[in-house]
Amino acid sequence: MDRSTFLHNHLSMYLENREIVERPSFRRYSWVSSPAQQVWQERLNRIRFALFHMEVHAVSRGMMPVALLSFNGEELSRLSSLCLQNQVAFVLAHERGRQHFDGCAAVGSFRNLQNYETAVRNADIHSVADLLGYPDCCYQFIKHVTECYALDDLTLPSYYNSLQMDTPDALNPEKYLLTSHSEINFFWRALGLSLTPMFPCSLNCCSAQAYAIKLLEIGREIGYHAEIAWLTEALRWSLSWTALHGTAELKLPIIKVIYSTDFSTEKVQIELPGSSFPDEGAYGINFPFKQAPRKALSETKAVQNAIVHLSQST
Amino acid sequence: MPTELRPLGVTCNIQCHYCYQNAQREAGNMGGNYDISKMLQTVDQVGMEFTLFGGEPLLLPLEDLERIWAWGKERFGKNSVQTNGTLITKEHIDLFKKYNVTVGISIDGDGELNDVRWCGNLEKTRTATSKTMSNIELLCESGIYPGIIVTLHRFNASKSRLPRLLLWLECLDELELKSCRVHLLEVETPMQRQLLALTADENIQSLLELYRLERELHHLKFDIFQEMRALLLGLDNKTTCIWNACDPMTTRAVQGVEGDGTMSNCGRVNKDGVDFSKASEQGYERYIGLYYASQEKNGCNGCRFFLMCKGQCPGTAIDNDWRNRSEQCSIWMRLFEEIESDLITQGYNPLSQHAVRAILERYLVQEWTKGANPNLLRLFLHSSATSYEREVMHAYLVENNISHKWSQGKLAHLDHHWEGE
Repeated sequence: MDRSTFLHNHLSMYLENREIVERPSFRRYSWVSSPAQQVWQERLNRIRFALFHMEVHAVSRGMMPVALLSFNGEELSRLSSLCLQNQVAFVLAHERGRQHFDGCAAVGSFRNLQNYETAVRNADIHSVADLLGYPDCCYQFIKHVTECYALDDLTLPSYYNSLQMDTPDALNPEKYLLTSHSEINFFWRALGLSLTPMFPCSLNCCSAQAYAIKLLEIGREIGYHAEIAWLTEALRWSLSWTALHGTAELKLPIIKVIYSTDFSTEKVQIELPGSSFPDEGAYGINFPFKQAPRKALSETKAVQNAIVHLSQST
Repeated sequence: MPTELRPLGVTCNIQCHYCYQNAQREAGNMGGNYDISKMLQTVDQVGMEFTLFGGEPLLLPLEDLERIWAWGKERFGKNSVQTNGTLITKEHIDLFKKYNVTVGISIDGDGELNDVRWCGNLEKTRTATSKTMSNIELLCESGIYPGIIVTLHRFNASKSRLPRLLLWLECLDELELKSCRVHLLEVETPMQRQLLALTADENIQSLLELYRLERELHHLKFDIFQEMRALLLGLDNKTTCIWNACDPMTTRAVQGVEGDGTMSNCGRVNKDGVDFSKASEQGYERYIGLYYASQEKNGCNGCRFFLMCKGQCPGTAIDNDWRNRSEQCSIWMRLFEEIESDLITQGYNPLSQHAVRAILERYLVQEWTKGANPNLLRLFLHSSATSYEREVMHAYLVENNISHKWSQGKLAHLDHHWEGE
């Protein structure tokens, strides 16, 4: 079986049960607790800003000709200041799959931005990908998935493409151990946090990882040590992702995010056991939350007595 | 709907085997520390009257109860409490009277009917049940008629026990109690399903018996049937949250205030045992999804009762996934059919059978898409109605004797009173 057949097989039920439903995109979130919000809301904002700065800096240093940055209303003025400081231009842009934000800006030199706009206008996606610095494997993958399946959300195909064929991965596709390539953990894109400009073609793509590591180096050079430490830690946390009836639900130890995805009546679920758990993460009874250290209610003598009595009474 | 004030989190003196808050307890997220000033400050900001809630709120010391209710009476003119009734004393009743406290009691029947509301061992459980019953009588003697919440399960509504439950409800009627809320069991674990859950047919049979019994009672009303009747006529301005497209990320009907003054959602949608904060904005993705998803795929597409039921409470969703419709769907559908049939016999033409249904459904989905969630009555006043649609709506209102007024070619007013109120 070749990889595209493997991918097609895994996606088939999801695609068969897909429906075309027109609705606006959405994204909403809930924190697990006030302490988690107090600590991580500001950290996530600082990471977002650091990522803006890192990408703008990367463009000014020629790492890639153009960067596409999604922003929410209040972030636009900060983005424009950064561009000014780094002597690069930006134009408002639109890109599929980034609708969860208020807007999107393309950042680069005037000439590169002109080239980018021309490529977008001509639907020349190869040139667009080149300008944005996509590795060829990721570009080929995105092209294949977009052309064959017309999916707006690439989470599922990228995830399935991470599974190794002919291994337990393929037999148990709902669980995947997030190990060596956590820098390109693409699930955090739902919160606007990503170290790559594109959906990586898989969770173990070496080219995407090289890009992410380069961006992290730039971040450290320009002084975002704390932000990078928080981000690289967060990318290693356990997470669960499910999608049903057009709504994706991402659960992380500190926050739950729901957002619009392709509408399918076939439920898909993914669990990624990570290698780190934050101090502010919640206790809970389901993955990815941590189990309470004390005895569970159901194990107490009183409840056991109840079960015995009720079992005998029925 | 009032705010739910939960000073003690989910701390309780009994261990109901089906309690929807058990996920939190199992996760160790009990709560229990409280700061009255912070809580009341939040209630004040929310600006809605509150119910003292738990767990079991009467575990609070009397002086703290008095402080909270004195503030509540001053701020809202009244108070309310939802309790299991086991801890009520004469001192509590004095406070209820002094601070105008409406009392709600959760109990599933007398004697063995209430065994699922467990108290450590069988003897203590039966003693607690007797205590609750005698407290109900004591309250009635004091002129306080508590509202009752009854959950249906195998221990009070199986074929062999249902007659006794009906008799018990008749006793409550004789005590002149006015209101009984009937809950179907919310199943969250395989153990609950195996030990406690009725089959769909048993649930239907129990509800139909209660529906029949209600006509014979003098005082006691089961609000669920009144609500379903109102919904079928489109007069839904006073129906409860389970029918009203509850957003599980914000649970508009339940504004929980925890012991530290933070806001929380309805515990029924808490399947992880994690008390998630409220999302900053409301959304109706679940309902748009259900409208389009086929019934075979756990959606509601094509169901003639969707406009009234909307997939029901997300806390009861199939596979504990809020994006699915309620797993109790077949039960509610059968009840809707029964009440629909009665309405037709009485000369009404309910929404579920009328051409206006498709029009209102379309409006409602449009509104959800815009992030709004109007009740059915307001949909009749929809600004984008075409002349054909206005004609259909007019016909519906006339056929059902719902008084209304027109102004400049548009419906301007609906009289939403009906004889069930």
